[in-house]
Amino acid sequence: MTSRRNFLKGSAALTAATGIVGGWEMLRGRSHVLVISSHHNAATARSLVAQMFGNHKIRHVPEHEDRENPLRTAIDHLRQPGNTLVAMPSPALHVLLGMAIRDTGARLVEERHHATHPLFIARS
Amino acid sequence: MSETLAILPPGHSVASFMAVVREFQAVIGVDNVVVDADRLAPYGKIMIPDEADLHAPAGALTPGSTEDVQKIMAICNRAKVPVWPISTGKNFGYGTAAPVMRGTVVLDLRRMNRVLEFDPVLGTVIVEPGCTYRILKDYLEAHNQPFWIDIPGPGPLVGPVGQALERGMGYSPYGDHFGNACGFEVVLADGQLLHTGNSSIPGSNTFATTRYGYGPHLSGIFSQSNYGVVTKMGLWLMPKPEAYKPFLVVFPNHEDVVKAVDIFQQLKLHNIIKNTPIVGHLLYQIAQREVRAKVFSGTGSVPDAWVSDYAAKNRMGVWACPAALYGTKEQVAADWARVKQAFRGTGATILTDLLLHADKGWQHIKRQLAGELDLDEFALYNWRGGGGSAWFGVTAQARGAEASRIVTLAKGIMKEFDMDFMGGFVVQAREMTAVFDLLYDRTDPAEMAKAYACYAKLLAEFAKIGIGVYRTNIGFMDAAAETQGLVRMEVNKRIKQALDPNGIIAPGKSGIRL
Repeated sequence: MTSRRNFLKGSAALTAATGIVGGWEMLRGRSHVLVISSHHNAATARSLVAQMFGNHKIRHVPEHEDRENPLRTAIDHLRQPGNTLVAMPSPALHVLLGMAIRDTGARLVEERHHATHPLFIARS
Repeated sequence: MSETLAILPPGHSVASFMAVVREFQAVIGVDNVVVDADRLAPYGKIMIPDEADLHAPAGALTPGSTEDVQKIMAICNRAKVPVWPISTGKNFGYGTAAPVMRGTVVLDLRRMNRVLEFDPVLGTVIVEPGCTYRILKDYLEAHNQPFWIDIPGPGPLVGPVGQALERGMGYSPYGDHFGNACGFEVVLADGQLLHTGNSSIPGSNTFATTRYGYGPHLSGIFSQSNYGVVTKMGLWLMPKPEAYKPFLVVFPNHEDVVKAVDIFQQLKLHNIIKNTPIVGHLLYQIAQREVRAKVFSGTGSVPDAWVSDYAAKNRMGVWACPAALYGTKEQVAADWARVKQAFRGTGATILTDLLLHADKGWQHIKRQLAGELDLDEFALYNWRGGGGSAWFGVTAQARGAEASRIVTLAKGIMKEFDMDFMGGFVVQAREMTAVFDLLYDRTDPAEMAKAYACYAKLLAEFAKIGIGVYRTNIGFMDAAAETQGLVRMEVNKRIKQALDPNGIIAPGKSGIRL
């Protein structure tokens, strides 16, 4: 289980890295988190979210050069109630994931552009 | 819920709009009526260089049937709530799902996603607006049917109805998407149902086969318009050809666009090439492979000299045109001989699948030409990053000299605003469409302002030389309509007045409003 200390540590690190403050609060206690990131951002995405949830609660889908697989995975994930999607995708996949959120009726919790990549959170 | 209603339809209070929302909920269920801000936010996401707030919707409805749409339209007509119909709502670079007018309610038809009928003898399907090319292709494959579909760049995510109504283009011999649509079921503003062609006659089975029928040809007025909500459409499918030969013609120099267009126009006119060849600029291909900041360190637009250098280093052409031959083995062999003859001595190089097989970009093109689906083209958005895109497309006579004139004017304007020239010419027998994507960082206000100014100038300057857009985005629909003159605008308005006197369907679409 993720301790409050780890959560705060992760949250602070993520806030520092991304500038996001509020959105991450709602992630705590959610049992199914899907993290999608570009190959470039994989290590950052994994480590930051792992600090908050523990690795056993996270499923990470790398983007690499394929966009259809992570898109389908995100749609399947968001079709289940109570799930969370954290994405640090390439700009190209970002466009597509935005559509996945709309098509599944999910809620866009937070969306920011951070340095070279967009970052956003959605929940179903 | 009322606390979250930040945006309201014009003329409505929170109380009056909530009363209408409850009526919507009674018709299609609570889950299919979206008014809370965090679920509504994705409907307002746009890529064009305009303020999203100007196009923010007041709500979104996801009906499940034509009957639902009829009931919704009856409510909207009485309560004067404007709606913006979308099929799949992925009109990337044109406004995505967002309406022209702030406070419009998006009528999202994505749940109506069925293939309703398929005729293997006549090669027709009837589909609903939410049916995507992926759904259609999976249907044909599941039924083991020897038909190919024709797709646009966004491939699996979008569908034939939206593509046809926006008059989008594809890559195969069936690349004229409106031209290969036949039969529309349309819900009018008062909720009545219209069938085009002769299929309004009880017992008719010609919905997807007879385009004209008796009387005025009405189908056209429901494309790029706001005169009705299309809820079904017939589509003609291309039989899988016995032989298929894709190839790429590469031209080494910037000025070769003239000969490229002239040769392909003749090959189209004489029906040697039956698909939709696109004479594309190299930068469009580079943008799908590279990130701009990693390969270009200069300021302003990427200059021609850089493109030439990249082409030389990577053994690519400045202009390249993928095309394909389709037919019997004998037809393809005969056409191939004519193609080789056409390019002999021109300085162009013809590359076949045998030579290009290992190239990832070619694999994508080859799939497109055969109606296979992928999302490879979205790599374009990695070029600059920041999610900004605005397609600028104009129609012109299919002549090389005209292409040269368009390139010169477009490049000059794009350079003024630090935009990169990327796009190409869709060459037909008599007409061509020049399409360019203004890619920019939407998170950078200065860059967005430049992209907006660039688009506005492109629209104005091309109109000055008599060249008009074939389609535009939600931020420029009024401006594009004005280029067509007062008479045309007045006729559009009179039709609107007759069919939708309360002006509730997509106000502002194509510059048409009461």
